[in-house]
Order: sequence, then structure tokens, then C-alpha cells
Amino acid sequence: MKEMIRLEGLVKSFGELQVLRGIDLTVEESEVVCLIGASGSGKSTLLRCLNFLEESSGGKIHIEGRQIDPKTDDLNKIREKVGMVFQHFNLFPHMTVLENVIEAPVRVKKVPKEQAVREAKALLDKVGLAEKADVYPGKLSGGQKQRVAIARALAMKPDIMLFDEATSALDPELVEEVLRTMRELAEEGMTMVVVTHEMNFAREVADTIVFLHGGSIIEKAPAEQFFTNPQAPETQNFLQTTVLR
Amino acid sequence: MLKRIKKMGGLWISAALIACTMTGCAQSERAEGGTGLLHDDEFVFTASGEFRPFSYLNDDLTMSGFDIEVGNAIAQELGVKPVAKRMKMVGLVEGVKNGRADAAVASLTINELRAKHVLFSTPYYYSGPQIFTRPDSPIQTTDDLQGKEIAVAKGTSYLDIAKRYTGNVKTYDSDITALQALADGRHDAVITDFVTGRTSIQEGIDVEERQLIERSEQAIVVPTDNPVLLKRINEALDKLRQDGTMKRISEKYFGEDITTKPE
Amino acid sequence: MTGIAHFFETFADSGGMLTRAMLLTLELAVVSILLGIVVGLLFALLKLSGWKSVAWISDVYIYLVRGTPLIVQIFILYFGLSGLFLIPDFWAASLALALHNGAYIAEIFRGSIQSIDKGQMEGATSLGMNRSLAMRRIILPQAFRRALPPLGNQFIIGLKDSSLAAFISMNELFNVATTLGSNNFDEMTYLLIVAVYYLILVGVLTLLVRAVERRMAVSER
Repeated sequence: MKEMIRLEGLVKSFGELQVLRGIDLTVEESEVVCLIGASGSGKSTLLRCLNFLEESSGGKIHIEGRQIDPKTDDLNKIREKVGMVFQHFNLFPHMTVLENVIEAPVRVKKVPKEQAVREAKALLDKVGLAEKADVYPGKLSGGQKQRVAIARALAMKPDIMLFDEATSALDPELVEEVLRTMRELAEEGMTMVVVTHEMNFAREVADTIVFLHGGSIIEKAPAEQFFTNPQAPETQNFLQTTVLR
Repeated sequence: MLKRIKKMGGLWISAALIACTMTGCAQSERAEGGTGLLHDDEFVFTASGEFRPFSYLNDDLTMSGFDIEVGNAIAQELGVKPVAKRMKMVGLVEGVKNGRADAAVASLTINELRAKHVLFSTPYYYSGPQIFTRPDSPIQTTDDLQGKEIAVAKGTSYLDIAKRYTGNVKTYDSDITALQALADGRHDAVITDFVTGRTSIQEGIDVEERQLIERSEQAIVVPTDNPVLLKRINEALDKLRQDGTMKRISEKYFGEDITTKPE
Repeated sequence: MTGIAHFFETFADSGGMLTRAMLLTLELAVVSILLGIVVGLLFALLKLSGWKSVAWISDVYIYLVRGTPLIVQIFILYFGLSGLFLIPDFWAASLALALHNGAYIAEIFRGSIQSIDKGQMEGATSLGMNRSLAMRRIILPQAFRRALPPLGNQFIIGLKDSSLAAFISMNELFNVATTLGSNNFDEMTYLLIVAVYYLILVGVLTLLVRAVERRMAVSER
């Protein structure tokens, strides 16, 4: 299998505070990895390091087999391959749904506009929002916004998708429509790294669960094994106190 | 600490540079002979446009008046096009000092303090505070003003002059109103500018002029670094006095010649 | 009653001259506001550039402009710099007003850019957009909308401030009106008349800004 992401001894500090203390992790093609852990465990920071929204303080990051040096590599080129979905959607409120989706392909990849529109409409159809193409994001529900955000990220045809607590800001009844979209994406073979609190989703969709605690990986295991037979005491403790949804 | 002082030093140097350009360390080259004019084909002079009948605004936003015609005549004498530029306040003289205009033809009175900062031409008209009374009044000179009631315009230097002779001074908003009140039978005398008084008499206010208390001489102002232009303007003024142009302009506005020294 | 009749009579009589003067006022205001937007945007971006020394330039500029009266700035540009290079009258006035407006507009833009949620920049970055593209396409359009109300306010101030160009020989509204007042020994009447002119101009400008605001608000829904 092709190796998509490999981290070696990744360290991240904010001033005195060390948030990631040497992370080693490999993600293979079509693998779905869920990062779980209590808040403050470093899982979101780890995700943000993967597309260089945060610059790591030490260690190595390989994307698709190549080590990335933030000083010399064009990070925007790498970000084209690594899509990201945020907790708060970060849709562009001054653009319609369609404009949101075609913005990056047209402006960054220089895809001809007609082609970009065609592809965007197909993506919106896929996430079930074809009829909302000409609506401004302000008119959408949270779940619809997040599905647009997923379509927007997919429009760049990334090889890897990162989800940073994509359902955490949603009303409970809207969570499922977003998870469904993510599940479909996983079934199509997208390589995904997902930070989530949705344990059922993790258990059902993830190939691998990575449990972070205090900036370190405490346990990494296949999903089923992780939930049925956690090894580390921190993991056991975490799973006991987390309500399974 | 040292670093900070160094940084401040840079600041002070730039401040000094700016101050330098503003106060004219980099004085212009126009002093070096030539025509003495900013533009070889124009004589640009400033006036306020707010001093009737010396300078006032026309419907097309150009200016007319005694000062303007004198400026135009000088330009003609210099063989160039006259450009009258309207300036308020500081601009009147500052514009001349800083190369926005060649000269100010703006009824500016010669005095020693001003002469330190600019060059004055020979006087192109004479004026000064003068006593005005009703035609039947016995008042002739300042000696006759003791204890009399004198009216002046607010905010003028005539108030101080009047107080030298009497404790009984009334003030009006303008010289014209004061003169009108005098003609109507109020007060004993008015002290105002010689030219203002004469103009009012011409306009039909029934008063008469008496002693000229002081003399003021009005002249054209050029920058201190431009003696070339000063010389040319003085020559032009001489010419205009000799050929009767000054007299003609003066009579047009005042009905008499105020451009020669009164005696 | 005669006072009111006199006012309207004078208003009508001076209409031609003051309308011409008003055109110059408008020209000064429009040019200086447009230039001011360019200057303001430039200094706002310098300030937010992240480079300390560049941000410092912006700080100094804003401090100088806000720290000195506009009339002083106008005189310095008009008279003071004439030893170095002679800026034509109209442009000296426009430039002084633009630099003045620019400092305030820079602060308005800086505030509105900073008020945009940082998720917007992250969202754009995550799509492979570089900083300047994200600024141009994502941040500035939103910041501009947010800046509109304070900008409209600054436009009104700028329009009225153009009256100070009277002191450097511009035949704009205030200058012509006060001169007519002093020519005719009737200053108060002309001051009242010129006040009416400014009120009309500001009224029209207010309506314009409000219309633009409404249009932009609609497009976001």
C-alpha cells in the first residue's frame, strides 16, 4: 500500500507549552484514521500541522513519500493535495455556494470556469445540495454549510482529507447528514484523518484509531480492537468517561 | 538605552530635514539674475479678494479692484501676462515667500517688523487713520478731540488711537456704519482709514475729512531673495506714476490720486 | 420676515457662483477620498504585514497625521515643500486631504480586516490560496463591507474638510462664500447659505452610502 503521510518525531510548542511531544504516525492510501482524545490532548494541533496551518517545531513530515520543508517547499502546492474541513465551516459568506466551491479551482489551479462549475455542480449534487448552488451560506443550516465545505475541499481533488471536529458545532439532529457524507467519502477510498468526538462513527468508519493524551500517542489500534480491548489505562479511562453516541 | 537614543537620532535628523525644507534651507534658484519671475511669461501676484474696493470677487470668480489693476499694470510694464491669485490669511505673504506667487499686491502696509521678512517696493498708495466729522463741526486736529465722543469700527487699531484723545469711544461693526451714524447726527467724530473715509464720502455719506493722524504707506511685497524682481517692480511703478497710469487707476476707484505722497 | 426674504434673495443671486464653487468642492472631495482609500488601504496592509519595521512606518504616518491639525498639514504641503518640488494648487490640496483622510481610513480598514474571523484566512489557505490572493478575494471584500459605515462617516468628514482648501487659493464653496460675505459686508447670510450647500451635499452622500450598504447587505443573504 502507498504511504500518504508519515510523521517522525513531530514536536509542536506554543512558547513554553509543548503541545505535541514527538508524534510518529503513518497513514496509508485509503486509510481512515480517527484521532481521539480529551480536549487539549493535541489532536487538533496535530491535524493542523498536517497541512501546515501550524508550523511544527521539530520532527519530519512526509506527504506522499516526500519530506516537506516549510522553509523551501511551496506549502500552497501541498495544501492543494490535502483538503481540510473545519469545525466552524469557514465558508466565504460573500460568495454563493457555487462560488465558494469554484473559487480555489479557478483562482489557484486555473481550471477553466465552465469546467469548474460543471465539477462543482456534480460535487454539490453528491453532498445533496445541488439546489442550493446560488444561495449564500448565511441561508443554510449548519449541516448544509458543512457539506458545502466538504464539497469545496473536494473541488481541489485532494488526495487526503482532514476533518477537524467537523460535527462539533452542529445541532445534534444535523450531525448525521454530515457523517453520512463523510462515510460515503471513506467508502470511495479517500484517505482521511478525522478528529472527532463521535465514537460510533469512529468505530464504524475508521480503520485505525489513534488516541492522544498530553501531546503523545498513547495507543494506536484497529478500530474494533481499540474499542473492545483498549490496552493503556488512559484509554480505558477515556472510554469509560466518554458517552458513546 | 543607547540603541533607543540612536533611533531617536534618526528621527531628529528627518525632522530637521523637513524643517529645513519648510523654512527654506533649500532656497530657490530664482535669485540668480534672469527675469526674477517664477514663470518667464507670467507675473503671479496675490490679493485677498476680501478688501473692497482694493480687491474683490467677480461673478466668474476672478478679482477686480485697485490692487488688481495696479498688479495688472505692472505685469504689462514687465511685458508678461498678469495672474491674480486669491489667497486668504497666511497665504497672502507666505505664498510669495514660498514660490507660490511672485509678489503680493494686497494693500500691505510697510513696517519695520515686516521688512525683516520680505522686501517692500516703493509705496504705491498712501493712507492712514484720519479724522472725519460732519461738515459743520469745528473739529480740525487731534487737539480738538479732547473729551469728545468718537466712533470707530470694532477690532481696528483706530480704537487705540481714539483712546489717546478721549475716554468716550463708541464702537460699530464696520467703519461704514460708524460714518453713517456720524452723518446722521450721532457722535462728534469718526477715526478711520483715509481711503475708506474718502470712498464713503464719494458714495454719498455726508461727512468731511480733517487731520490725517498718521501716515501709512502701502507697498508691493516680494521675497527677500529676489532683489532682481524688486528692482523691476520699482522701475515699473516709476514708469506708471510718470505716464499717469497710477493716477488714472486711483481716480477710477477713489475720485482722486492716492498714489502720491499727500502733503 | 425681511431677514428671510433677504436670505432667499441672496441665495438665488449667488447661485451661479456658489454652484461653480460647489463643483470644485466636489472635485476636491471625490479625488481626495478616492486617493485616501488607496493610501488608507496601503497603510492598513503595511500595518498588518507582520514586518515590524514596515508596520512602524504606518504607525509614524498615522501618528503624524492624527497628531497635527489638517490646516497645518495643508500649509506644510502647499508652502513648506515648495522648496523641493512645486505641486500644483489643486493637487497640493487634494494630496493633503488624501493623506489626511488616508490615515483615518487606514485605521478603519485595519480594524475591519482584523475583525474578519481568522477562520476565513485559514479556510482560504487550506484551499491552497496564497496570502495575497486570500487577502484580495476573501478578506478584503468582507472587510470592505464591514468598513462601509465608518467609511461613509469619513467621507462626510472629508467632504467638509475640503473647505480648508480655501486657505490655499482654491475657489471652493467656503472660500467663495466667505469672500462674497466680506465683499458685501454680509458675512452671516453667506455663512448660512454655504451651510445649506454643505447640508445638501452631505445629505446626498449619506443617501448614496446607505444605498451601497443596503445593496451589499442584500447580496450576502
